[in-house]
Amino acid sequence: MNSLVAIAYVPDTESKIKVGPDGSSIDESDVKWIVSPYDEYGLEEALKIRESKGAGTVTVVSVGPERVKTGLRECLARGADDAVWVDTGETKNLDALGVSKALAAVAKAATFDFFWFGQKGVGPDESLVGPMTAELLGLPHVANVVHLDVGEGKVTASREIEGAHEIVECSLPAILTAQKGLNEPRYASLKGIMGAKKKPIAEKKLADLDVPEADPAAAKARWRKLSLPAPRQAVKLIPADDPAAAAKELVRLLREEAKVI
Amino acid sequence: MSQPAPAPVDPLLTSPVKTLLSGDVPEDLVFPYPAIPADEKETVSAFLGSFRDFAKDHVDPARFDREHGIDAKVVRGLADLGAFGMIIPEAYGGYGFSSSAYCRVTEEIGRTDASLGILIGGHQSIGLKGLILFGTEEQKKRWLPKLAAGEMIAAFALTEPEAGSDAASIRTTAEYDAATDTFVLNGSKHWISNGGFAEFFTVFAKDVKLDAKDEHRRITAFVVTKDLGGVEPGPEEKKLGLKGSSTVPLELKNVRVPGSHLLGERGQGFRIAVEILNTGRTSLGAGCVGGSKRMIELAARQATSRRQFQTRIADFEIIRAKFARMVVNTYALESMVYLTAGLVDRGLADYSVEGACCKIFGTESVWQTINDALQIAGGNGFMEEYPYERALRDSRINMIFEGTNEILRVLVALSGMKEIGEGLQEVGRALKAPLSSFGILSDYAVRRVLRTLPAGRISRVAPALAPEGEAVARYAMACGRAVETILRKYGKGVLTKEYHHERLANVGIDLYASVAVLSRATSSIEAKGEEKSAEEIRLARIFIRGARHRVVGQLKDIDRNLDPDVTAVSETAYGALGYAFPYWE
Ligand SMILES: Cc1cc2nc3c(=O)[nH]c(=O)nc-3n(C[C@H](O)[C@H](O)[C@H](O)COP(=O)(O)OP(=O)(O)OC[C@H]3O[C@@H](n4cnc5c(N)ncnc54)[C@H](O)[C@@H]3O)c2cc1C
Repeated sequence: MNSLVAIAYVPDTESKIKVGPDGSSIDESDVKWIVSPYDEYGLEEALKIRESKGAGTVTVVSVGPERVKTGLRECLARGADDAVWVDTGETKNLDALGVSKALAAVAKAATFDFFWFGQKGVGPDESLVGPMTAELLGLPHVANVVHLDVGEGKVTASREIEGAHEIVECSLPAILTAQKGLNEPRYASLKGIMGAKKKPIAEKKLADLDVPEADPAAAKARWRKLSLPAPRQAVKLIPADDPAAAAKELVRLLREEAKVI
Repeated sequence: MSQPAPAPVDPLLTSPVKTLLSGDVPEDLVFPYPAIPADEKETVSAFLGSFRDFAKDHVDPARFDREHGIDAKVVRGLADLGAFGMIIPEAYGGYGFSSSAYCRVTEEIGRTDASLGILIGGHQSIGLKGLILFGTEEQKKRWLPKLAAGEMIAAFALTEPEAGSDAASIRTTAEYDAATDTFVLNGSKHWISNGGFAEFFTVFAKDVKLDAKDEHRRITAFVVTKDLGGVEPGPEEKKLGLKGSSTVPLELKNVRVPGSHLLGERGQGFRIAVEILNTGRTSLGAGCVGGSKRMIELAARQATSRRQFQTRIADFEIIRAKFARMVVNTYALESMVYLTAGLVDRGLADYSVEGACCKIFGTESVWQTINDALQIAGGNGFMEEYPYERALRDSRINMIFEGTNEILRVLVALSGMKEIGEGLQEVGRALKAPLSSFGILSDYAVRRVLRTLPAGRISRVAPALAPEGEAVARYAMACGRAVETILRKYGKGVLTKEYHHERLANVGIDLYASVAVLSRATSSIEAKGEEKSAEEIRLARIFIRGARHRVVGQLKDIDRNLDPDVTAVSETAYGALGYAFPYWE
């Protein structure tokens, strides 16, 4: 059984995010990039399916600038067979629909049983690309998968919903988005890392894939403004030697400085 | 009488530290600072990422320390990652890491957990190294793939209760039976790292039936696998630190070792042991780089968050001075380690002295850095909930094993002196023979490179660091003169002049660290410009300023000292078996 796995290469959750000078993008200069953790679950599940069936391929796909190739290499090191890089070139801040169209175009040229996504990227946290791609391809879609049983031409997926689990059966090929708990992703071994160097990364240009959203003017959604949460104020300690005076001071501060009462 | 001009020598046949100690700056070796090939950088970065992820999920140094061991699951996980096969050639199932790459990963392991460092380093740097260096094709094919996969863990068994630093005095015997081509081994080793679970041992024994000129030429090295029977590890030692690692005595009881397990030739064992240890020390220095970086991180977090006197601890100048010392020394150590590793990768023929410098400087610098970090943490530093006390305990052994720092200082000094000694007829020959018992076994006719500049000059240092470069060149020259004076004064008696050995070794280490720092900062300036290298220039200046003070002090002491008084003080203590100056009594 063949799988496609969409890979988002995102800022490390531990990176300190800075807003760029244009006020609507992040300053990428000091960002450390990682494969989105949710995509790792998708990749791991695809690898496990290939291993349990003893046949099939796992292809990882990423849409983005040159750096995403490093993310693809990492996936190849973990065991994916080959990779497709959609080079976004000069295009910045492609919207979710643009990314989905590019991925759908790659999928149309491939034969696959599963197309895996993370239940969300890390960063925009929109949870849009998986469902949009399913829509564009006209395929069934199961979101937030935490357990999967693979049958003949169909799968039974357990998905996490508010306060409960829902069991869904769907036909293949299908689009699945992976949620934490689905599996424990493996680590890339040295053997995998060395082997990955010999595995192919096919390169496609966004321009060749008929994605009108690549033109910022045609994007259906765009980032207008980014701002960081206000920094937390330093804690102010009121000496409590005299409780009555302390209470009085607290009320004064709440009224005059914090202006909440 | 004019001497014929010496023929030019391939710089890779020389040694940077020996060259410095004999008065010259080895510019051809030291400049430019080694660059890491892109392909290797990619592999190593990917592996480091993987190792960090693994460590985050499974490595709990406090637990290893508490429970006195690393769980089998973690060992298995590391094996799956490929951590046990880094330096094993690809042809035998390993990954053929360069010395630089191995050092970089060892650094990361050192930053993570010292016991893990023993597990992985004890296996590769010493346990199986002999097989790579001296094994036959057949032996390598037989064991290396299993060792690379971590299916067999390796250990190195040289030390015995009566034979520590003087390893040539081992008593374990190997009795050869020609009829069955078998050696029968008997004896007791002790303090064998990984010994509790290793299945592959590189063992050294006296080959009693071998006819040899002296005792250390009767030592033979063997691959002893657990399945031969009679290899009996004793109980785990209770130790100050490295509690997660295995350290056991090893009894060898009539172990019948087939001739096919012989490593190298009969009688070559001592040389093999020395060579294994000599090639492994650079990576021990790399582990210390990792440990130092971790301490700086912890201390920085601690000092910037804790307040006293309404001020961050970090803002007090005495604390700042500690940070500068930690960072500057770590930068110098890192520069020395990766310069050495880069030279090894370029094919430097003999790097025993440089490896010893990395080991001495690394182990003492990380010790001081941990001590500083602990001090910055105050009372918390003393508490078990914080990682400082464990780091302190774990790092103490570094100055003792893999050649004690005392023995290695003797090695550095005598090797350095040999260079000039060979030019002085009266001491040349005399220096040669006894050196071998300290592990100076170089076959290479190490010569000084033809001077292209008058001594005392250095041409390739960036202008911003020219004064520092000149100082280093000047002190190298002064050191060369000091060596000559010592040699003329003591002749072959120099072999026991350890007061001077220690001073010369200290000078050699400081000079080597200084040129490493100069080279690295210069490469940075050449790549990024002076402005963007301002911080590195600063580190170089601070380090070399400190090095100058130390070097001047040591050289002065070579000239004039109170050595006879020092001897007398120690004699009194030996005579009284303690402190001999009553006050209240
Ligand atoms: C945790 C641990 C793990 C170890 N792992 C291994 C292992 O895997 N394999 C193995 O074979 N060994 C191992 N060792 C042994 C270790 O290498 C020895 O402890 C070391 O070589 C020193 O020997 P020693 O302890 O007998 O000290 P000694 O040789 O008795 O030295 C005592 C002191 O005298 C000093 N001294 C000795 N000779 C001189 C001299 N000529 N000049 C000046 N000072 C001198 C030493 O520097 C030291 O300070 C391990 C030891 C420990 C504690």
